[in-house]
Amino acid sequence: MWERPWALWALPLAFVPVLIHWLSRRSARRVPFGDLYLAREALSRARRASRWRDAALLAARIAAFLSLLLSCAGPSATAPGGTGRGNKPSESLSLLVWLDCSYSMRCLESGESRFELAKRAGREALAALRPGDRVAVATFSNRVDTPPAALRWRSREEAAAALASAKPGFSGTDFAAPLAAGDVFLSSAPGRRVELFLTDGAAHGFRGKLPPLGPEILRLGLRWPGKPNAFLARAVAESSPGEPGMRLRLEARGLDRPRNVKIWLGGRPVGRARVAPGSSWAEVALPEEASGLYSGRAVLDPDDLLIDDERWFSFKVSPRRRILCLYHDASFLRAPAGGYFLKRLCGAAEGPLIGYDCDFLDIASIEKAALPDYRAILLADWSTLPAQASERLARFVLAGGGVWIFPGQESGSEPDLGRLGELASADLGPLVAAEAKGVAAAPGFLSGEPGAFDLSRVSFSAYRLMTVKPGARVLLRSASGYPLECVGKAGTGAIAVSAFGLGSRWGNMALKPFFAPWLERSLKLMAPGPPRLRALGGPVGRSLEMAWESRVAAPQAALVTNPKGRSLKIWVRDRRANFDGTDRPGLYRVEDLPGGNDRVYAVNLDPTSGESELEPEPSPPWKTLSPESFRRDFDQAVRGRPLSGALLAFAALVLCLEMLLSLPRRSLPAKPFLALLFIAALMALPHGAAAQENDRFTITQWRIGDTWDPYPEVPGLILRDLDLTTSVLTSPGRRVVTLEDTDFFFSPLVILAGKDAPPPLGKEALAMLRDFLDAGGMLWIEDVSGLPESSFDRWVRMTLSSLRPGDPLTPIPLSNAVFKSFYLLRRPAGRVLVEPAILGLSRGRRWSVVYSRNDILGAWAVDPLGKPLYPCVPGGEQQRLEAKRLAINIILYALTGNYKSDAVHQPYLMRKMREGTLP
Amino acid sequence: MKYLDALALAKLRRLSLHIKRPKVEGLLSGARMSALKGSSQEFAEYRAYAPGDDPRQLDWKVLARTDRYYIRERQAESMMAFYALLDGSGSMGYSSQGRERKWDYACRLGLAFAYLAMAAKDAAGIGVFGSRPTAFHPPRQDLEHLSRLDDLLARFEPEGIFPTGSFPSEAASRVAERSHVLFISDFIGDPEAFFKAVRALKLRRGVWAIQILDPAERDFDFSGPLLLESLEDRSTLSVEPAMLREEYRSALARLVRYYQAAFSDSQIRFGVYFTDEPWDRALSRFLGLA
Repeated sequence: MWERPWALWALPLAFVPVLIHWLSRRSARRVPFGDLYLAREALSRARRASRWRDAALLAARIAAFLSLLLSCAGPSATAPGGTGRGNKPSESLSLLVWLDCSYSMRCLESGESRFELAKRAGREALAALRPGDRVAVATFSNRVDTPPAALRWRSREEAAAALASAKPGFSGTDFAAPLAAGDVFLSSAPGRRVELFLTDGAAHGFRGKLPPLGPEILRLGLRWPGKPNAFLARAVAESSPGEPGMRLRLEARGLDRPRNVKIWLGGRPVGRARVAPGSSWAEVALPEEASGLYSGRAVLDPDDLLIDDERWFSFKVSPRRRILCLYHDASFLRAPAGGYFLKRLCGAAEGPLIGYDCDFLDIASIEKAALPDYRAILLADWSTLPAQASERLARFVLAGGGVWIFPGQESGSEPDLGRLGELASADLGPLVAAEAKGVAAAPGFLSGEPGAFDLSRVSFSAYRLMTVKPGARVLLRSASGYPLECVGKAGTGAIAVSAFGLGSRWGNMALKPFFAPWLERSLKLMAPGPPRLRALGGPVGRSLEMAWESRVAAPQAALVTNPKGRSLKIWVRDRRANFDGTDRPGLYRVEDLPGGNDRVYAVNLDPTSGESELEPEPSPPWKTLSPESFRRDFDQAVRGRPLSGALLAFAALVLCLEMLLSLPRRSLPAKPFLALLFIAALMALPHGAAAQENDRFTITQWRIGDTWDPYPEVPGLILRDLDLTTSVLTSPGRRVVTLEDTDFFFSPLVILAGKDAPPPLGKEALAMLRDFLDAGGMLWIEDVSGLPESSFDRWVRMTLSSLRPGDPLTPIPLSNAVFKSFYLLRRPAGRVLVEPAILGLSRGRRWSVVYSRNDILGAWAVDPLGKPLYPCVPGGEQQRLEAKRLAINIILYALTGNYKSDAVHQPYLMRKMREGTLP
Repeated sequence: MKYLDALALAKLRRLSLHIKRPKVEGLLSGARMSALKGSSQEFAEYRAYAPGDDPRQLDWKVLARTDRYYIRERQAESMMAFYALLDGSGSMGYSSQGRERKWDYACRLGLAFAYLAMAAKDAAGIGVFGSRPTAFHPPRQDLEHLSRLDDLLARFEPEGIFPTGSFPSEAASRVAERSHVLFISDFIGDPEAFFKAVRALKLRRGVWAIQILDPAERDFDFSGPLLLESLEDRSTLSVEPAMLREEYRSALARLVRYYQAAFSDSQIRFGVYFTDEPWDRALSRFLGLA
């Protein structure tokens, strides 16, 4: 394949050397010479080599010319793909770039997120464009953020700006939509059409059915290798029978090793638990909250994908069960009707007198009621029951709710309850006059109730004849033994039927002391179970639906404050309000306006999307490119494998050969060849410094024990600051090694952090560590527990005493180079100040072990938004700054030793100052 | 004179020729000590008088003291013949970059040696050997002979091929025994043939050999493709000097080393000189004076 095939017309120029050679032979000067004996002898000796050398020279010159000419034609080894209408690399390119904004792109790869690496690859793809190429940029997650109609070609600068402004979201991934939209958009694009997916290529994005894809588009996509990722999938609260407070159960998935879970409730830590691959549920007891609102977060030990290691929760515990009373006429709520007393008992604003909260709702507005919020519904006062309402009540019962049917003000001999009537435990018959005073309770119905109730004084003026269905339990009977109340199962719920109503015309039931316990016992039979627990919240991106109970005054508006502290006022209509701005996980606080109750909603990532599973799709519908060698792979995929460089290198090699052959020597010089061979051998030798990334410094962490990596993101931050503030060349990322790794010995500085004691080191391991320190290596130990005493501290002291039995840990003096290798520091610092000094083990004049108990690394830790994760106590931000500087100093000390103390440059500086040559 | 002008003669007056040859059997008396007893002032020995001896040789003082007849013999002093034999082949006519021809350089040296020999009261002669009939002037002692030699050489134009095959016999027939021969040539050719030709003169003669070369023949510093034309047989050779230079220099070095070793083994003094060096300095160096 040729990018510039017209350049091949210049190929005959490759024979210019032949022409020059021929012309030079023809133009030989005739020179008289004394005797040709010596010349002939020299010629006879050199003739053989000369003949070969002449031929080789000519061939080399032709080859050099040929290589240069061919490289000008832009050859490529393989035909580029995506050539719908043509197959020529010289065609212009139509490139559609899709940037994956799902939250799995936040996964860290060597200290940098996949999202940033993908954006960098996108910039490289833009840089590979040529004049005349077209580019469009769009983002997607579980949907296409840019609708196909809005897709348009942009300039390279606009595309770069669009890439730069993109931010990772919190949604899942679905590749079906962008693939379909890309096909539509590129179908009319001119030239070669290429679709580039800047994504992690994880398998979770292919759960949906993919659209049929056109073969004329070259699809390219990034791909990272899979890695285990632990995440918190669920947080479930349960009440503890007989105990105050709640139990929080957390489900962790994707565990590859045991991990800790820490739980914060309302900003304070309340406990921790441990989850292991075998038992992924953790359970923590939450202390009792007087408000009944339990909101907070649970955090798993961090891994490379931090965002799903955190889960927010908010639960509202109602101490009493909620019931709903449906009425037809407002007079039902006035004395002496039963509704008045019912409201006094369990619907009063000052609090219910029995164990139920009752909301009252006009039966005509039943479609507005959130029936699942209630444990039981009292159909107390009604004239006709609409079929739709009957159907909803029936579904409510079948789903586990309880319905209590009282005869209402209906006309006719037998009330029509529709679908609900079919499920009811009894059929209500015609209205009859009561025969005598008194009722009788079924055995056990009121047993255990303190005090005695005089049931003989209960009287009814009338009641409906009731036909009890099989399986139903009769609770009350009339003095004559007619059933007045029964309850039976329907589905998973229960339906109670009373033969009398609660209106004043039915009798004096509501006026008797018997009314309250009767009501509570009957409701208990229909709505058993613990107090109701409500989870507040939902997944990211879904609107929050808020409702205010009818027993409390609904506000006019509410103020929603998102996790970033931004507030938004929303209006409340019909006791309901929706908030659509759940764009990030966290706790959303809702405050009634004007002032009133606060509530908290927990918004979390949606674990059902599978976004936290980072295994790559084995066969994605695109050609995968490696992020590490993206530019080369992209060019090869789009333009084909370029051979220009190889041809130029070949031309250079041939020219070198030509120069060697042209040297006036009988044989090729051996020394330069030997030198070249020596250099080649040196280059081919295993590079010892490769472990140190050539001349670039990278942080090496010692993996030992479970808590060796308390702050995974900190090495990257330290390297970034080291690169910005010093002249040390750094390599991004970090190296994690064990004592057995050879890289351990190629690292000038090894960091060991921890808060729990790792397993003890054996003799062989101690010997290896001693060898490392004796060979010039430095060990920086950081106790991140922040406690005066820790198991890690005991392990460190024991290990170091075994390592150097005669050398105790001693405080490093403030005058040492550790405190002035880069910054001039006057005291130790860290996230905490547990130890007033930094300890160390010296070897000669060098501190080979530096041991800090002040958690210097913790001062670097930040959250995903870049804010410091932990406060520095007691010094605050100044202490954090000093801790960061101390970390830089320790690294510089490891790299330069006592350079600053030696002051080798001091005499020269003094002399320059004396001579006044300083600017 | 063409070659020995006043300036050259002035330079030569500072030099002298000392040929290590203790016994010379010349017919003419000269400055060299003869193997025979003669009439010089140098005492040789006493011997008893024998009949037939010249009574003038009697030592009368010894006869008066001892009454015995003793003849006082004196060392005879004879004149040595010095031959400067020059290579007159065509290659000797080569010069580069306007320098003096090897032939002219050789003539100056030959005549200078002849002058020095005459100055030492020896006889000097010149012979030129080339493809042309040999030009030869037998040795004479008078300085006027020097101008004739100069004329001879000035009229000679080198050409043809040096006759390495016939040279020994021809030279032997013309060069007297117990003489001293200086052979001047560029010695470019078959080294063994040259060496055999020169060594043939060694029989009862003292032989010196001087190789004269042009600097271009030493450096071979030509550039560009060349068609070399031989001045001896007009044959041509197409060469790339840059490619051939090192090989040529090596061949020349091997040739010179061969002559040095071979002449040294044969006790023949040998010297190599280039025409970019003043001839008088070359002469002084050869005589061991510089």
